[in-house]
Amino acid sequence: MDMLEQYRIRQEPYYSPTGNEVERYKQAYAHRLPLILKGPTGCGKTRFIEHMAYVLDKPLVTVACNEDMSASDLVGRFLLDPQGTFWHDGPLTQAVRYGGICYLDEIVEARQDTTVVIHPLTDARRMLPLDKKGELLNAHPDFQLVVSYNPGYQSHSKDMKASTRQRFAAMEFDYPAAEVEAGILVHETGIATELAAVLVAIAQKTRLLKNQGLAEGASTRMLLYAARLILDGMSPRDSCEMTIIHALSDEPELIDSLQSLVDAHFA
Amino acid sequence: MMQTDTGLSLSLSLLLRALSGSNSVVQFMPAVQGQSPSVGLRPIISEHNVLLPAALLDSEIAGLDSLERASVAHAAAHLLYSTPAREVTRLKPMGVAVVSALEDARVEYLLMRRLPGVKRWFCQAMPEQFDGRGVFYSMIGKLSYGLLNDQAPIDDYWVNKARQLFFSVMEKSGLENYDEFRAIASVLANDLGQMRLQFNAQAYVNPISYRDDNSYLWNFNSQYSEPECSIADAAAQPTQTAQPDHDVETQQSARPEFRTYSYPELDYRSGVMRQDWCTVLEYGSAKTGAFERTALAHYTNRKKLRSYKNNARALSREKLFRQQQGDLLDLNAVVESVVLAKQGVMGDGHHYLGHALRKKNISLLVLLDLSASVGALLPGQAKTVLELEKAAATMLAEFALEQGDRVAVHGFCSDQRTGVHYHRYLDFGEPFSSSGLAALEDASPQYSTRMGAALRHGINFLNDAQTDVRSIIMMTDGAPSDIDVFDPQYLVEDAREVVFQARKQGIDIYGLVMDCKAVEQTKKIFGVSRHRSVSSIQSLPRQLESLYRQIKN
Repeated sequence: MDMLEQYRIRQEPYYSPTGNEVERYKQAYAHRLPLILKGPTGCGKTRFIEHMAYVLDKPLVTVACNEDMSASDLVGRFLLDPQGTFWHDGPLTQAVRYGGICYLDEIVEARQDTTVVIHPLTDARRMLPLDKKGELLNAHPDFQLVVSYNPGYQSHSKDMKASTRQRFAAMEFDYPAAEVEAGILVHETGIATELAAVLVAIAQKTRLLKNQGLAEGASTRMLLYAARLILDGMSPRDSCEMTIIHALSDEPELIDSLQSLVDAHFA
Repeated sequence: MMQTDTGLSLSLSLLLRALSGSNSVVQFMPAVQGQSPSVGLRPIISEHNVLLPAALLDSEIAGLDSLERASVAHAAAHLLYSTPAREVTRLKPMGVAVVSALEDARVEYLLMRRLPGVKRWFCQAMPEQFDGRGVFYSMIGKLSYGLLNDQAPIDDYWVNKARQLFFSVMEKSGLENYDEFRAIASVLANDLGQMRLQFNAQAYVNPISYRDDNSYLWNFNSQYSEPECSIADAAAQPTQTAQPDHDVETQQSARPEFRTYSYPELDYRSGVMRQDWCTVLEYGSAKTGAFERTALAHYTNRKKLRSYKNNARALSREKLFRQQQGDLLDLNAVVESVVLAKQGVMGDGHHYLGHALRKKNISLLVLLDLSASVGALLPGQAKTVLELEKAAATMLAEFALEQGDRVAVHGFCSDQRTGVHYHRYLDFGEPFSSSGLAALEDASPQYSTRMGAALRHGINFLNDAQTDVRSIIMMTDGAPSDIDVFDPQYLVEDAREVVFQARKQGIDIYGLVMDCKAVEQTKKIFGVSRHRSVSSIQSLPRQLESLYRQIKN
């Protein structure tokens, strides 16, 4: 019985490569190198790892990291039932035990003392000590650890510990080139190519405002939302206002600029 | 009286950046005294600025109106598609005006091709009547109107000829070929010459009020020395505020006693930390007179930094285990309790998880670079880097104290390794009204920037601070330097080492860099995520707010 059956990806997630990242990932996986995927929000990191898990036919166990996450949330804990206590594997332990790709999304959101539990997994030992259970778990040959984070997100000063970070190889992601990004919109939503190109042009201009008041420009994900609402009959201006302008900022000055920017793109 | 609106200017600057990709800042220029605001003043485009007449401001309209947007879009079109400062060569002033009008239309069409929505802005801002200022003014006005509204009927042979020539070139060769448009402009200017039209170059302004004065397009110096040949309205040129001439000697004589401290410095080439290499001379603040806000501080403070009193992100969330009551079970406590129960021992009933929110407190040292180079004007602005630093320090200090945080404002400059002057203007625990801040207002730029030694001294003030966060914000205009150091990397590497060591002690050092040219060097010192660059007073509150948020989180 496949213990990670629920984590298998049934349909191929659409991913349009922007370079040789697919080949690079395959090579890294061949050596089971722990990987950092870094890049701005909404640029396709999660989609990429889903795509690779499908291509390699491996289960993908995803954990969205947060500040309240404890080591037990990753590794597992004892739970109670009428017979007494029993051990419940956490998502990381499941991937380690049964062989899957464990993807820790936005790892810097977790506290640094939480993330040190991955240290023994990410060096030559490839093992996970379950100290509460008294078990030393050797990683399944298929297990790989992948984490993501956004280095440009300056609203918080969280960083990875140097001792954590240097255990990983890293791949850098950025927003795709205009034609590729428009192609993604067309493929994912069915929007007309011309309109997709306009949405991408708007997004590219908002990215020029990064660090001028915007922490990030409009992401590909935002454009997908915009395209879906437009296809559903909403006017492009209203759709951009809802999914891009007000989603990016609360500042009146920025909103004015973004509204004008959107307005400039539609006759 | 200048009716500046920082918010509007910021919105327009952001729009200009998004449309053109340039770093130019939109500013408003005052109306000339005695002159009707609607006459004469036209926007001016320069390398770093787009100056809009304050008359464009319409406080009745919420958000941006078409005239402002059209002005910015027109400026963006020039910045994207026009070659600046072309030689006038033998073109007569009337010819310059005709070529400029065609160039205005050409770049607008190029922009409209990319951004179709801007045509609406241009059409809404374009006047239809051009009477009362002479025949030439009226003809250029009609020409501009006719080129933008290509279907509108116009009862003028010359304008219709111009339209026909313009659109046939556009159809045949596209819009990119400037020379072809210049050629038809020569034909059209020649026609006007044949008509013996009166043309007064000094009184002429672009009939279209949202368009610039076209001084961006031309280099008049090579041909004309007299301003009357310029098509730009001379009265519209902004006046640069002269840099205040502080008397350094007077300030020095008012200095109190100083104390000396020795610090090491890293020689990165040999990897050796030179012990007791730098001498810091620390001065207490010259506490003379009460602190009064300067006009600059008033100006910047119009937009206050947003309060964090109700912002949960500024609170540290602590998990409390083994609580007697709560909404969540503390599983470890429950398990232990059950194990104990099976052994026949009664637990204490503390099975719950709780959370406590506690306000994070900060000790923040704002360290100002007071070296000679900060006396330079910010690119394209009438303010010095030091004025921007002072405004930023004052705003931050007031804001941090309002939040109940600890803040100190110090400054430094260096005259070789034996004379790193370190001034304490506001110390931890002092109120904002401290007279030390008055001394900061009087501080003038001098000497060099030995950043590492100043940081080492600044860190001393934070070592004993019992707060959640301990940070230094270094405000500077660039990479460190001193006259006894010839290797530009030497002081950069030393400062980087200080930042690195401080971080290990739990003290984060952030760089607020006031001049974009030095970004690469300073990023190296502070690290990408702890580095901010500020280029204008308009963006200062936002940058400070965001930096403060970063520090507090």
